[in-house]
Amino acid sequence: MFPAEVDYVRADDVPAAREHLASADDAALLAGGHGLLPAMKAGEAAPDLLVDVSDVDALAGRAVDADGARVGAVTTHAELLDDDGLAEHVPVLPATAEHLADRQIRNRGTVGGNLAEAAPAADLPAAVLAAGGTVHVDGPDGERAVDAPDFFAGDGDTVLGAGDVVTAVEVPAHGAAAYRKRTHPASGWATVGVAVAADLGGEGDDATGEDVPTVEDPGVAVAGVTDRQQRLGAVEAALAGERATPATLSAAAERSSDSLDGPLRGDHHVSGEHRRDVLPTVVERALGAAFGVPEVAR
Amino acid sequence: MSGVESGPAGDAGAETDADGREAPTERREDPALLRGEAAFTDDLVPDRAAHLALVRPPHGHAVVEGVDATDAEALDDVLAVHTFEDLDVPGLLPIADERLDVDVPAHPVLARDRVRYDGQPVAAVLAETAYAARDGARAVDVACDPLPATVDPREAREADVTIFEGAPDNVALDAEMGDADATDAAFADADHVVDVDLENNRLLSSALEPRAAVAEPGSDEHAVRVTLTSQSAHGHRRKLAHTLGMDEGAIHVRAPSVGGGFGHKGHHHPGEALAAWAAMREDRPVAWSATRSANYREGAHGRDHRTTAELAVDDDGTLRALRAETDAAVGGYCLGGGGVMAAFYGRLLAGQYDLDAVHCRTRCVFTTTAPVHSYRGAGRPEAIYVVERLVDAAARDLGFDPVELRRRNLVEEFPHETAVGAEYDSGNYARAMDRALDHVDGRPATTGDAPTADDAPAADRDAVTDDDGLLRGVGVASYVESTGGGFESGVVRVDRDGGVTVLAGTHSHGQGHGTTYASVVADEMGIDPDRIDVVEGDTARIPTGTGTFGSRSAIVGGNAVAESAREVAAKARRVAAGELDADPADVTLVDGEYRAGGDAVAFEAVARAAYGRQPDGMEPGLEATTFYEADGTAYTFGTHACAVAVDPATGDVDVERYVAVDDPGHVLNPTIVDGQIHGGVAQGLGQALSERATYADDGTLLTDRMTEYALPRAGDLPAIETDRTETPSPHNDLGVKGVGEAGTIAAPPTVVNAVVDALAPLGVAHLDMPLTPERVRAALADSR
Repeated sequence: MFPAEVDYVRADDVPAAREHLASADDAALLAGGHGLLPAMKAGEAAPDLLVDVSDVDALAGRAVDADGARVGAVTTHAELLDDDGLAEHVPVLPATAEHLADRQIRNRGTVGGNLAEAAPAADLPAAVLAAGGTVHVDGPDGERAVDAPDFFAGDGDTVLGAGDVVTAVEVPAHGAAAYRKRTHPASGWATVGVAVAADLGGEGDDATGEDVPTVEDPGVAVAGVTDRQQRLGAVEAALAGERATPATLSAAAERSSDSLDGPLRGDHHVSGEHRRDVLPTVVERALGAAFGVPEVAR
Repeated sequence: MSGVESGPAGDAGAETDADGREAPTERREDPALLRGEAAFTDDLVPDRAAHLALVRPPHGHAVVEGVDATDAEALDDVLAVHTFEDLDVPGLLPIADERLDVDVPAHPVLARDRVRYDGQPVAAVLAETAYAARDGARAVDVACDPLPATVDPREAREADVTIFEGAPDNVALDAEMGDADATDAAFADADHVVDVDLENNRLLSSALEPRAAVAEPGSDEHAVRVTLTSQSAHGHRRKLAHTLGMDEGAIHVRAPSVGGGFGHKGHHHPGEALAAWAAMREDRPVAWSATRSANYREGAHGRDHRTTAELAVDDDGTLRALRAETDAAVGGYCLGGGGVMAAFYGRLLAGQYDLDAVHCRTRCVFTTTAPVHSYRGAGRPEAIYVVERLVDAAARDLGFDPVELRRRNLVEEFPHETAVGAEYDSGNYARAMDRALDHVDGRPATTGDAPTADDAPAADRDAVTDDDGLLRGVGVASYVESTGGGFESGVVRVDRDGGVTVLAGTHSHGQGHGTTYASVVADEMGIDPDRIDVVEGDTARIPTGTGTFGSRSAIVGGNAVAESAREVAAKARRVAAGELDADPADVTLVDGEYRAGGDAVAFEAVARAAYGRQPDGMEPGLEATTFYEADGTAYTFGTHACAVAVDPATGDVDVERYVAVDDPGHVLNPTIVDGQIHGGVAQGLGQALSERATYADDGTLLTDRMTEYALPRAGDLPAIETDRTETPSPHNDLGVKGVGEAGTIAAPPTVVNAVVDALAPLGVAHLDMPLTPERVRAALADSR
């Protein structure tokens, strides 16, 4: 339970951070430390240099408008929960952050750290995927923007290379969102986490004559079930342009496993098969919550 | 510095009990615990101490071919690496070998040539710092040749795995209780036979504080002083003497503040003995503390039974007889009383019912797992789970209301000797059951009209769910608990200034003995509890002791200190009578002073006078020592009820209400009793709903840390509603019964009965614990 000896340096800006990263054989970025430090204590990670970026101004702050939000990498999960602009324009972020770990971790853990760690059961990657977000990276070849589906490579890997620093995540605006999570009874990670982000189009009469909005540009993504977070394309296709009735949402949710990719993830408490078994229910309830359809929301 | 010592907590509120006596509603122990001022073992490490860490290979079963300490010894600050060959003491943890059917070796504190469970220590690293010790332990290279493992007690009897040459079927002990012929006859004569096949899941002890020890050599009177996490200072002294080959008198054991016991701090562990040995060898203090993971891997674990059981029932609902056959894991070694505990678990198999015959066969089976030993409840939860699942199954199969079937068969006359040899002292089982039903509006269970397993498999889920889509069920379980065995010591000493010290051989590691004993002694002596200090857990201060386990402390410790207090009070009255020149019978104690006629003398003056010359040949001094043993076992009892909602779509079980009605005999302190019930029910709910120690097929423990072992969190638990009846035990002067384990006994069958009630309309007859969402979903899928 004791980390190996490690050097520590605090970076003032992103170029300095990248220089420090290049200065050691096995340097690691440190922000909230809630993934890295426990791994170091358990002997599962042993970097020779920690580059602390938690005070870098360029990585902090948020910009929100009607088109969406750009969230700096060292933004904490707690800050996502405490931002009226995010709640209005990119509600999937606060909706997900609310379910992320516990208060202590939310107060320290950062958005950039969470995305870069890419733990297969992490909540936030699902939210960013569902909303069609983009991860901004500053690396040896300059700055680049990576669409979320390209960023996550499975089993904790990302496209990040040596010397890369996640600087921000950009999330397009959406009108409706929800996150529903089944929590591992021991670890607290998601066994099934489902993020929904979509726009609601003009209302039209459904078969019963009631006004029901249509679902536009839906994004539905899952965490915890396989080796990576991923969008559920079959569910999205079944929803796009449809009215948000209980029957439509239930029918779409039934297609949750159709496009599920990658090996199932399970353990002695919660098997992968069980995660997949309950996935349609979690998707259905997330859709119901996102679109205000109480019949299927629970 | 002594063991646990507690004085008054300050402005404690008070509550009046049934007899009009006041009992504090706040525990005097809590301020120091809440402020972080309580001293635990690892807080008491001297600066000059060396640190010990153990090397634990990750194999469930392996031949140890060699230990290469070269790299470890080369590390800065590593002082030495030891294996069993280095020990110049016996180094064998006591096992109950004289009670076993087979001749097997004891548990060496460091494995000699074989490890028989994941985490069994093989080498000990001594270093200048705790960090260096653990780095050193990582650097020790243990060459192991893995052997096949067998982790399930039922499979281990058949497995082609030999754990000990002396135990070819891996059976340590094959025990029978009750009358097999009478039981067979009753079954042959009965109208129906109902059976269950169930697992009592293996549990890990998750006390807040992992085990730790600090050993210091060469005090004036002792060869070594060992401060450690113990439920019994004197018990640990005896075990250390055995392991170290020393006289008990040469060892001073202190148990300071201890963060929870639950049984696993009553057992003896290698780290404690090795720290003591190393301290004497190096002539230097040595500290050891287990990581959470080491604690989990080393055990001792709890439960782990596989049982088939049958109940013979007549048409009219008369329960005739019960028989059970159990395979109980004892792990890689049969530690201490672990085998005996399992072998005699059947003693409670009559439950609350008046059965003609009971027979139980228990095989204690070696498995390549951590040893199994007493864990809060220690055999009683296993027995009551069998009884209460059987009775519920009988009600469901034969169309009785589960409560009515129980009520019809309750023991009503006391004392009562059961068909399996338990002597129930006193009880009013129906009263506690009625009280529980009052809390749930009198109808906690489905009626016999409900669909049964036989005719319901095709039941439509929508037809049996509530409007919110949930399946609801209610369950009850009625239990008895045997409490209060063995003797205990209690000293009450009044100093010359009137200060009172109570010394008891029990140990409080969460139970609040300081609060309870002070109030018992204050009550007997007629003085303010704030004047009383309570001391436990120090072999140099306390004459002797047995310790705290088995729901015994209030009975034997409480009565021991009460008896000493009565003796001291009587003598103080005689001294006061001398001072007042009155007849002792005319002396009263009011507001801290003795009065007779118009005269008064303060308690302090009486204390002072007691140490002067006494009239009539009376000895000076004001102190009494009692070694107390109850006249017989006190059988606590009660009925718990709960309501659950099961989400058929996810398998989630939500305990919507939980009501516990317990009868702990005379209640000394309602707050303490409530606390014990709350904690026990929480542990029982953990067993029922989430906890299960799980081994991989290769014998490595999968649940080796808190992120892998599903201990319930506070937020996972329902509000626990408690109520009581009070039926005093005739076997001890205070009329008390133990209550420390009641919750762990009652909660598992209560919850399982409720969930099966919820799922029964869909054809589910039984589920094994823990009732995880996955198991619930699987049961629903199987039933369709």
